[in-house]
Amino acid sequence: MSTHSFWQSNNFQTLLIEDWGGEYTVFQPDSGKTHYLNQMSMHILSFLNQHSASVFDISSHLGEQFEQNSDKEFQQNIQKILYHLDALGLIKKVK
Amino acid sequence: MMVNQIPFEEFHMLLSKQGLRVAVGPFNICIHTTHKPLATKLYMLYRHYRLAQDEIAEFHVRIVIERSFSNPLTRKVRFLLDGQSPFESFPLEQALAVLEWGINLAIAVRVNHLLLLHSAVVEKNGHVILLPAWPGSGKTTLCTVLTHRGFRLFSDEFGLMEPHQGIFYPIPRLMPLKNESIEAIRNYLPEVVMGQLIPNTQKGTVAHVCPSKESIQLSKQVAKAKWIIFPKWIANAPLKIEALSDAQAFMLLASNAFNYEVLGATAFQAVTHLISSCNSYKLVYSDFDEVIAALKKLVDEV
Amino acid sequence: MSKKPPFEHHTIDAAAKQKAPADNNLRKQKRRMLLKGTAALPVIMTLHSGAALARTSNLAGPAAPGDDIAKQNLGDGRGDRVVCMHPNPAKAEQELGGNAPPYDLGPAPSGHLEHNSYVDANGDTQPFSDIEQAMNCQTNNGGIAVSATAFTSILSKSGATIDTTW
Repeated sequence: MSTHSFWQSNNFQTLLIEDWGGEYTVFQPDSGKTHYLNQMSMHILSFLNQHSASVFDISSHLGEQFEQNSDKEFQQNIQKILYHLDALGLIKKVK
Repeated sequence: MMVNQIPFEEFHMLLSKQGLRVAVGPFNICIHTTHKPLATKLYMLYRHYRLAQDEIAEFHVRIVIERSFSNPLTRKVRFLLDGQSPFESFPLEQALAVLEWGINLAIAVRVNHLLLLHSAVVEKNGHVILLPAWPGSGKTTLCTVLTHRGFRLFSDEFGLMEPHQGIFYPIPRLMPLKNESIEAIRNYLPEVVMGQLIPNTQKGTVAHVCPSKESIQLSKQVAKAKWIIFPKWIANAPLKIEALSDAQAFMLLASNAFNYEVLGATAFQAVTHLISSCNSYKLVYSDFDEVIAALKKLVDEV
Repeated sequence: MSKKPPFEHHTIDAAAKQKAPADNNLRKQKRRMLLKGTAALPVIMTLHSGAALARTSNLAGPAAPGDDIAKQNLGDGRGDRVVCMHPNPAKAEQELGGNAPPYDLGPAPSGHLEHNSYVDANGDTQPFSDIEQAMNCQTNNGGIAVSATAFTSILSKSGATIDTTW
């Protein structure tokens, strides 16, 4: 998977999301599954609901939001969570 | 009419002919068996249940006796649900345990209009406490103690929740104590009505505790939940009760439901409402007096 | 650091949020989150329910040091990949409570095969070692990497499924 791929959320509007004070439970009607997301994962989902973005865009946005270095290791972690979100059908690649 | 208001001969005849129908919480269960020792035990342990001979039964269960293929001199019992056999056959002397497991299985796989939480449930001050836990955590033991010390039994096994209104239905059934719990309860609650020991079952030695007459008679009185407490018995551990985050309680409770995935979004919303309206805790205990006092203090803070 | 995410989420009615008053100390503890110390990393866990019926049927602990970690080669050119099994959320509780495994995988356990390589920021393919795959499984993907022996036992259970498209 190229780091130049762009991602966006997939059927975000259909999700049932409950905010438990910075932790989230999410029901995904497409799969019938329930997910737990921490705040950073939810940021990724909601960011990709508003923009198509690359792993660089997402890492840099999260770096700002969570006041941490968007270094190579951080980008690799974001890339891995994107694989996971994609596998669950919560996001999709757009180009 | 209650079971103990008919003579044993009539009780036995119903069991062996058209089936004995008893009201257990929101369900009627029709039980068939010709096995007289089982009838004797049921007559004692089911004596406070209401007879429902002229009513529709949701579950038709049967305990039949069969010969072992490998050893024709040995007789075994088999549980049937609507004529189907979900288990292997078991030794004759385990008939009561097999019947009770079978009825639990029937409820667990057949009831999908309610959210079925795997949880003990007791009521105090008009509200329900859920005690969800995994096997071996001591939920039936704790439930037995609480229901003999001022709490009303809803169930030691099922949290039957109407998913839209959050109402819990009582389903007070026999409580199967296992192994060391049996002696612990006999020592702590000498007044308890307990069936005979059933040794060498797949869960070890089992003995069934009869719910109180009051719990059975009040089984039409529903209630909403206010507390969710995940208990764990650890030998000699000091009492510890700590709050759980709502997200953690959500994940633990939903994963502890029998039919969460079947009910889909309805279950998600039901568990969300339930967690939102309850305080959730994790409880470690070893001493019955301490845990009773702690839970009474908790519920009296309302 | 935690700003509210810019999305509209569905909430339940205010009346349902009315909780019983509780001991102050206990209420303060509620600030503790499900997964401690993970704010700097994105985390997602998927609920595997339905295990309540036969919760004791499949017990497996994570692979211990020195174990032969379960791997599979699908013959698709991707080589050996570590098997990542998904426990139920009891795992999270066990981690929080500091209790030791085993984890209960429930009656119909599922799993996936980990990625054994990734593309770095320069567009180059880099390998993940077995240990890195096991760590990815356990820290990022909500699963546990099990020993080859445990995996053989798990596969013998009816209903075990492994997602090979991961």
